[in-house]
Amino acid sequence: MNRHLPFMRRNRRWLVVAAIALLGLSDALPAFSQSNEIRSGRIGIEFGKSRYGRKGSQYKSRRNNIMENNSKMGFWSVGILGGASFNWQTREAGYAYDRTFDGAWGAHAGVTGTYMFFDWLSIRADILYTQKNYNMRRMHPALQELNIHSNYTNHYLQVPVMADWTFGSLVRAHIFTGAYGAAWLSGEAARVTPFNKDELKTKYQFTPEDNRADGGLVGGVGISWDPIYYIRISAEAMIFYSLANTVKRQPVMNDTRYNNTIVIGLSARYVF
Amino acid sequence: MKQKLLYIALIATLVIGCRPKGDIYFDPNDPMNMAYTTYTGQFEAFWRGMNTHYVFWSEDSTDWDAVYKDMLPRFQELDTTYATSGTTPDSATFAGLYAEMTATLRDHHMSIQVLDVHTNKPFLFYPGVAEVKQRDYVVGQNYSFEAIQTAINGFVSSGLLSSGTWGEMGEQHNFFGIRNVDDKKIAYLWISNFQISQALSKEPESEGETAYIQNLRSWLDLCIKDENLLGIILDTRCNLGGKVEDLKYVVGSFIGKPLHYADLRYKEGVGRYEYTDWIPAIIDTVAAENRRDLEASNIPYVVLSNAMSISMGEISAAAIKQLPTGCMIGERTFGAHGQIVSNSALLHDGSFGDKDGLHYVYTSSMQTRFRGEEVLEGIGVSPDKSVLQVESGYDGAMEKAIDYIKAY
Repeated sequence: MNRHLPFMRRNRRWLVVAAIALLGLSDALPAFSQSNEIRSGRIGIEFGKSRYGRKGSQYKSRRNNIMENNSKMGFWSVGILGGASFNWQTREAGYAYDRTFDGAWGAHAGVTGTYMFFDWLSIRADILYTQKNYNMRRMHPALQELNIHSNYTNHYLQVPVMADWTFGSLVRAHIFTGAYGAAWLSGEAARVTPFNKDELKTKYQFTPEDNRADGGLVGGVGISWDPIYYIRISAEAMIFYSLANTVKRQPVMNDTRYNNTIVIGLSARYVF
Repeated sequence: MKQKLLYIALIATLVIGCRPKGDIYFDPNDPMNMAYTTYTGQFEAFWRGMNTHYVFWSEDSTDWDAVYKDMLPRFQELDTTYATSGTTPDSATFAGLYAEMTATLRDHHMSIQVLDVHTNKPFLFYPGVAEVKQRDYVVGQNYSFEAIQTAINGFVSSGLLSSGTWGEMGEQHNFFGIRNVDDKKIAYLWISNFQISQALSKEPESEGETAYIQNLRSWLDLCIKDENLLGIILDTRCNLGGKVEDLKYVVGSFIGKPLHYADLRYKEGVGRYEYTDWIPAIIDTVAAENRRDLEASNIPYVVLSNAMSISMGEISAAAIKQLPTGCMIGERTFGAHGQIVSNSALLHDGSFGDKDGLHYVYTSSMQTRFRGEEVLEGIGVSPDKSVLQVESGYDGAMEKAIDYIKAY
C-alpha cells in the first residue's frame, strides 16, 4: 500500500476531481434525476418489480438503491447486446507472398446473462452471433489492374463464459476474462478473379479440411451504468483469441489460419 | 513490478504458444526447391508440389497423405541402395513408383517428367492416358491420325461426304467437307487441334496452310451464310485440344444470346482445398453479321466425339451439346477438361517444376464443371447418342449424324 502512496499523493488533486465528476455525472444524467421518478426505483416499488420493492415500500434515494444493488450478492441479470466486430487472421502466407490478408468489420449481437457472486465478481455467459470477416488481396505487381480480391464474411455462433471483475459503484468498470466455444455456421465470399471483373458473391462451400469448431480465450473491458434501478447499460470491448485452427490438422503438411476478433458494443440488462 | 511484468509475459507466451505453428510451404516453381540430389528429395519436391498445385483435390479419391507415408520409405530405400552399392533403379522400378502414385489421379491433362537424379535418364508418364487405354470401349481401337485420316477419306469415297479437302498447318490438320442432300448441304469439319484464332490471323506460308485456313473460312461461311444449310457436323474425334478461345467460332457463331456452358474454379492459396467459388464461363455471341442463330433457324448441329477427343476437343463438344439444336454423337470423351492457364502469377495451382530440370509436372489450372453436370474430369463427356467405334468403326457415328440431321 505504501508503494502507492506517492502516486496518490502526487495525483490527489486529480483523483478528487475525478471522484466529484463521477458523482456529479451520475446526478446530471436524466435517469439519475430524483425527479424522474417514473424511471427510478419508485415505480419498481409500486409494482413490486424491483429487488428494493420486494423488501418493502420505503423510499430510498436512487443513489442508495444502486449502492445497495452493487453490494448485494446472488443477483441474476439478463440482457441483449449488439455492436460491431473486427476480425483478422493470423496465418502463414506459405509461398504466396503476394497475398495480403486484411482485417474486416462485421456485425455482432446476442444475449447475455450474469450471475453476481460478490460485489466484485460475477460470472457471465453470452450467446452471440459474431461475424469473423477478413479480406484477401493479391498484390502482385502484374495483377494490380485486375484488383483480384476475396472478401470473406463468416458467421459464427459463440458462447463465451467469463469472469466479470467489477470495480466502482455508480459507474462501474469491468474486466472480463474467460474462454469461449464457437461454431462456424456459414460464410460468403465476394470475389474478383482474373475471370470475373464484377464482384461475384457466393455462399462459401465448406470443405473436408475446414474446422467449423472454434474456441479459445476471451478477454475485455467494459463500463456499466444503471440508469434505472433494475436496468444496467454497458459499453464493452472484448477480444476473442481463437486457439482453433480453421483448417483441420493434416497428417503431413499443415496450414494454419487463426481468427482474432475484437468486438465492441453496447448491452442492456435487466437485473432481477 | 518487473516480476509482475515477467509473469504477464510468461502467461502471454503460453497463451500464444497454444496456437500450433503451420509447416513451411515451398514454392514448387522456385529453383531453390528443385536443388535436390537424392531420390527422396525428388519425391518430396513432387509430393509437395502436387499437394499445393494440384487443382482436383476436392474431386479426387486419392489419399495424398497416405501416398506420402507409403512412398517415402521406398524412395529412401533407393537412396540407400545407391549409397551402399552405387546402383540406380531400373526403369521399371523407377517409373513404377511414379505410376503407382499417380494411378488414381483425376487430372487427365497431367504428364509427369522426371529425370533419374544420378543418371539423368528421363521418364515420362501420362496417368490419364493409362486410364483411358483401359476403358472397355477403347481397348484394341486405333485412334491415330492415320486411322482417322483413312476413315475421312473413306467418307468421300463411300458417299457419306460429297466432297472435301484436307488442310495442313505444321502438325495440325483439318478437313472440310460437304454432304449434299437434295438441294441442301451439310457442312462438315474435322479438326485435329483448336488453333482457329491463330490460323485465321496467319499469313499462309505453304499450300497446305492456305488450304487449312481456307477450310476454316469455307466451313464458317457455309454454316453462317448459306441459305441451303441443312445441318452442321463438327468432328472432334482424335482432337488433341487447343485454345478455349476458339469456342467463339464453333459455338459463339451459332447462338443468339450468350451461353453459360460451364463453371470454373481454381485455387487461390496454398491450402489443398483453398478454392475460389465457381465462376461462370460464358461464351459470348460474335458480331451479328458473323453468326447464325441455329435455334431461330432450327438447324441441327452435331458434334462427333470419341475417347481421344481431348481437352478443347471435348469442351467444345460439351458446349455444343447444350445448344437447343445441338447433339453429341459418338463415344465418351477422354476426360481432360481442366483448363490450363500459362501465366503462373495469376493462380496458385497448375503446372510446376522445370521443363529442363529434374522434374516437371504439367497439370490443369482450373476445374471445369459443365452446366448440369458434376465435375467430369477423368470421366469424360458422355454423348447424347452413343456410337462406339468398336462396334461400327469411324463410319458409324458419321452415318448416325447424317441420319439425325436428315430426320431433324
